Amino acid sequence: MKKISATLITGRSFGQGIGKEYGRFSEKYLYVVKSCEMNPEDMVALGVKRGSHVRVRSEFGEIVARVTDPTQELPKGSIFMPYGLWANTLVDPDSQGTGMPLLKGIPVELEPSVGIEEPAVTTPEEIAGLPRTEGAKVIRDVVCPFCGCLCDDLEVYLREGRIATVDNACILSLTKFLNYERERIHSPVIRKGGGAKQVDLDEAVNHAARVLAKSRYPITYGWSTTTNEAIRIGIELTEAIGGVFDNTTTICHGPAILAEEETGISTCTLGQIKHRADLIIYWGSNPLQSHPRHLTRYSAGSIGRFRQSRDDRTLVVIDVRKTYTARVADYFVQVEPNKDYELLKALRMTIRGEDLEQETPGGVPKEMVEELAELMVNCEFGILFFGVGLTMSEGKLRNVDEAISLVTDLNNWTKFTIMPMRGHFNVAGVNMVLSWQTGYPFAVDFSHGYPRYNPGDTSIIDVLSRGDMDAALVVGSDPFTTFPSSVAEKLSEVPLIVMDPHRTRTTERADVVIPTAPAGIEAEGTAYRMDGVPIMLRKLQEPPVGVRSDMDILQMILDRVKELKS
Amino acid sequence: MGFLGRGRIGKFKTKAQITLDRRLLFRRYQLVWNRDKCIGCGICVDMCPKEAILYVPAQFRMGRRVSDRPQIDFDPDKCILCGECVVSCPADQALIMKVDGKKFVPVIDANAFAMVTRRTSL
Repeated sequence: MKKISATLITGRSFGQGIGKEYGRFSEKYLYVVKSCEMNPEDMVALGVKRGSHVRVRSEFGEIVARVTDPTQELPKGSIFMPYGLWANTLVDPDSQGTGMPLLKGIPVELEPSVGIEEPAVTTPEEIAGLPRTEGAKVIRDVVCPFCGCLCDDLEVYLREGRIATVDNACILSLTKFLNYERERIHSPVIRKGGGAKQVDLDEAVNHAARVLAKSRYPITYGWSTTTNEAIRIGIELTEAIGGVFDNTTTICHGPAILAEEETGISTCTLGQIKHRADLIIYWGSNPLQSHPRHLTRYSAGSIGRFRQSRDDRTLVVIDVRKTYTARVADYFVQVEPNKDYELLKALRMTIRGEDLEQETPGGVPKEMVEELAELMVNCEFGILFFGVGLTMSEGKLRNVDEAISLVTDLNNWTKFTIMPMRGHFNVAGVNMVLSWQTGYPFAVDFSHGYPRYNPGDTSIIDVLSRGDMDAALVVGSDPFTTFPSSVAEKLSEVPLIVMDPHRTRTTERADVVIPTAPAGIEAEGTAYRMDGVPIMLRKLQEPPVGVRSDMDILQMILDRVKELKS
Repeated sequence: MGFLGRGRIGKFKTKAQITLDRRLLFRRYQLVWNRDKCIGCGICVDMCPKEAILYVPAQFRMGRRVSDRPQIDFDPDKCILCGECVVSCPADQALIMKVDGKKFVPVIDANAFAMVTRRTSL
C-alpha cells in the first residue's frame, strides 16, 4: 500500500468554531474535526480523492480522517487538521519543559484507508418566514463573548424571550448567540458506581466541596470562558484546597508569556493600531478565521483617525500556508514549518546591517527578507500580531523571544509594537487576575501554602502526565477534546468535577457536573480584551431555573470548603 | 432600474456597488456588495452553496502583490439570495441583504449555516 510522510499542522477554522457552538456532539462539529486538508499533489501521490479516507499515523497515535481539498493553499508535504479530538490524538504531549504540548509541525505518515463517505449537507432553497427583527426588542452595545477581540458594538434582537438575531456580529459570534441553548445541561448530575443521578444544586455543591476539601493535590483548570469575578473566587478556592491553578494559556499563548517575562514587551492597545499603524504584520495567525472582525475593526481594514483606509496601510502575512488573510495581504511570506526562528534571526541580522550567508533562511529568499526588513524600518508605526503558529511550533518561547527582540531592535529606528492574538474571550483576563492576586500569570501551585510558579512542573499538562493530582475541577473547558489524548485520559482516573453550560466530552466523563449560565449571555461580569483592556459583559437573558452563574457556584463551593476545612 | 420579470434576479453594476435584485409578488430581495468595504478574502466564494460568486485573486511575485486587490463578482443566474455570503463576511457593511428595504438574512432565519460543512475546514 502507498505511504507518504507529511507534516501535520493543526489550527482553528470556521467549521470548527461554528460546529463547537452547535454542540460538541453535533453532526456539524464531528464532520469538521475528523477531516484533513491535503495538497492536491499529495492526494494524487497517495491515490486518494476528496471524500475518501486516509490513515494518519504519528509517534503518539493514529486516526482515520476524511480527505478534503485545501480551502487555503497548503504546501506540498503538509496536511491541515482543525483542533479537536482527532487532531489531538496525533500531537506531541511532551511539553519540552515549558508546560505546553507541541501542536504544529508534527511528522506524520499517511496511507489510504476505507471509510464511509458522508453526504454533504445542503442549504434549503425555499426559506420563508417573517423577518426575525419584526416586533423584537433591541439591545445595543452588547459585548461578544467569543474571541479575544471582545467586539462591543453588537445589536441583539430578542423576540419572545429568545435571541432572534444579532447585528454587526461575525459568523462565529452569531452562531454562538443563536445556538447557546443547544446541548445545555439543566440539572446537576452526580455519577456513582456506574450510574448517574440528577440532584439539586446544594447536593452537587456539597459533594464537590467534600471531594476538593479531602484531596491533597487537586487541579483547577479552564477559566478562560468565565468572568474575572468568578476567576478571583476560583483562585481563592484553589488556595483554600492547596491545588494547582492553570488555564488554557497552557495550550495557546503560554510561550508568549514566558518570553515576555524574559525579554519584556513593547505593546499598545488596539485603538492605537486602529488610529496610527501603517504597517501591520500577522505572523502565524489567520485572523479572518479565528478573530473574523479583527482585521476590519482594529487593523488593516479599519477606519482610524490618522489612517483612514486600507490604502494607508501595508499588510504583511507570514505563515506556512496561504490562508484567507494571506490572500488579502500586500506581502505574503511563506515560511517553512518550524523555521520561524531562522527567519526572525535573519530579519534581525538584516536590520542590524549584517550580511546573510544563507540564501534562503527559513525557506524565504534573501531578497525577500531584505525587502521585509526595509519595510519594517521605514514604517511610521508598526505592529506585529503573532498567533499560535509562532508559539506552538518548534522553538516555542524562543520564537516569541526572538520576535520581541526584533521589535525592540526596530524601536531604534521607528515606533514598533507587538501583540499576541489571544483566543478565548477572557484568556487574557485569567493571566491578569492571577498576576495581581499571586504575582504569576498561569500554572500556579498553592500546595505549599504560598503561590509557586514553575511552568514545565506546575503546568497542567505536566501534572497530568505525571499523574500527581488526586482530584480535578474543570470550569468551562473541555480538556478531553483539547488536550493531547494520552494526557487527557489521566483525568478519568481521579474524581472529576466539571462546571459547564453545555454537554462536552468532559462532562460526559465527570463525577460531578454542575450546569452554569454562559458569561456574556446569561451572566454579567468583566473580561479582558487581548490588549489588556477590561470590558463589561452584559446579561441579556435570565438563566433557566436552577442554573446559576460560575461566580455564584464557586462562592458556594468555597464557603462549603471553608466550613469543612475548619 | 427598469422592469424585471417576477422572480428573476437582475444585476446592476456601478463603480462602487453591485446590486442583485429579485422582485416577487409581495417582496423584493436585494443583495448589495460595496466595493470599498470589501477586503477581498474570498470567504464568501467558498461559502456560497451555489458557487455563484466568482473570485479574481491577487497575483503575488516574490511575496509582493503585483496586481490589483482581489475582486469578486456575482452570477445572477446561480444566486438564490440565501445570504450565506452576508453571514460569513468578516468585513462590516461589505455585503448587505435586504428584504423590502429592511436588513434580513434568510439563512439566519432558518438557522441554517449548512454550507459550512461542505468545505470542511472553512
